[in-house]
Amino acid sequence: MSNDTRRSARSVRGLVRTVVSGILRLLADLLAISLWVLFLTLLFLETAWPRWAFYVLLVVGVGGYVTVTAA
Amino acid sequence: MVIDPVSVHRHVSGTGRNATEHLQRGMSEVCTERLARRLGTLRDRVETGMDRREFLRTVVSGGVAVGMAQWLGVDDFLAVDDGEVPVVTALVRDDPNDPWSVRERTRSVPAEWYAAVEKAFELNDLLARTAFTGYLGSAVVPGDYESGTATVSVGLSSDGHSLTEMLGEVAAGIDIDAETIIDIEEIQDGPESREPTFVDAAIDGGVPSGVACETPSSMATLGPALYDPDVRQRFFVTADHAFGEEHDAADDVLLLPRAGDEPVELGTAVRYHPVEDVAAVEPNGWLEPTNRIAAPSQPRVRGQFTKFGLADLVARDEELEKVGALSGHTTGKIQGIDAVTCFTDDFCRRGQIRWGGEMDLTDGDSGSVSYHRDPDGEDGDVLVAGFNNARTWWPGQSYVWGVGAYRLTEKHGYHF
Repeated sequence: MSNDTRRSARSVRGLVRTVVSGILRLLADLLAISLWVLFLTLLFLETAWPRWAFYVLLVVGVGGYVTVTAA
Repeated sequence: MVIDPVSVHRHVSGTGRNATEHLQRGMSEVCTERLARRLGTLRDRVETGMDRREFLRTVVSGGVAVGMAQWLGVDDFLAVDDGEVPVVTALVRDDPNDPWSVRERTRSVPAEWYAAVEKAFELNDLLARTAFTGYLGSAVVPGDYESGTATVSVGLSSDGHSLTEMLGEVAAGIDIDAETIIDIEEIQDGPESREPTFVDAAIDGGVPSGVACETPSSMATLGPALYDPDVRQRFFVTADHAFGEEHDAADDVLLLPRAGDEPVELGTAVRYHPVEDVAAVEPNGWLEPTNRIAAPSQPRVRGQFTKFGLADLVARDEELEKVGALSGHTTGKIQGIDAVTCFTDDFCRRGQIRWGGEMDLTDGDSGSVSYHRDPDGEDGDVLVAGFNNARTWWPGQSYVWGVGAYRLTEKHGYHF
């Protein structure tokens, strides 16, 4: 009985930890992406490079970020 | 501590070059071996099922990124056709002697340039409203008409390490220089050795801008006549900080010291605008404010520039002039418009102009206006850009700043 309670408490704690870390990770991703978009926008305002280059860099940057953070 | 935006940009372009060189070297030398290893790891990942999660994350993040770019409206300036658009560049009097005959003046500018500058204003506004940790201020620097670009120059404090780290994480490889502010000084200190310009003892009816005036606590420069179209009233005007921290309308008398004569009373301060750093003084004597400026050429103020009028000046690389009671007549380049400064008070000042260098302003010059020749006016007609109320310098940056006339019109309805 007491054993069960402990186990369920532990699993609840584990769940909370997973959810919290997931949310934190999501927020970190969102922040990084926002900054990347802002940085590119400012850079392209300053340089008058073509539109396709903006989207290519945007997607390549996001891809790179995901690859780096997944390791 | 401040990050010099110029060097951030320099490093950005440097990184691009290095990357290209690196790529070329890699292709010629060690490419096959590395590629094979990479493909190996990629296969491993596909087999362990890692890649699907990453793939999903990339797709979702990419979608968010593209969505955010759309929300910021990057297409507004990335997909602009050639052509021209009209913009309002100034508010000018039709009849130079009738201050209420104000009319908008327009000019055709390249659509591409307009879109870039408009977007830079929007992003600058977004940055100021977000005011993230470490944000000290920012300014818009329009490029020339051929380039069709605009730069947002951002000042960051390295006390807020979080942002520097975040930027470092996002744009890995971009080296950001952190530099120290040497000094920030507002014009509130004691008088310097220079002699202020006093108005002549015989003033025939009106007082020109650019001469010394005295508040109960300090000395400043008198601005040209400021008009409030709502109540159809004209005011003497000078810097709000010249009246000190405590405002007491009963005692805040503005005096006009005269060369070789007793000072005369101009009026009492009736309206204080500490954020814009402007105080309006109601004339109560026989003296009226005028639209003359006490420079050798005796310029006449005929109106003021709008935000895009200032952007147009920057695009054409034109200079601003000012006449201060202490430093006299100086000219200088515009360094940034629609600027936000958050480093002197616990609030941010918006709609500022940064121009010239710190040597263009000294204690007692506060309240003077910066102006530029009216391109379509008569000889000697000038348009006001804004007030000069403070100066700032640190490595790589040195400028005079004060609120733009357009900001004063937007917030309080006044015009010159």
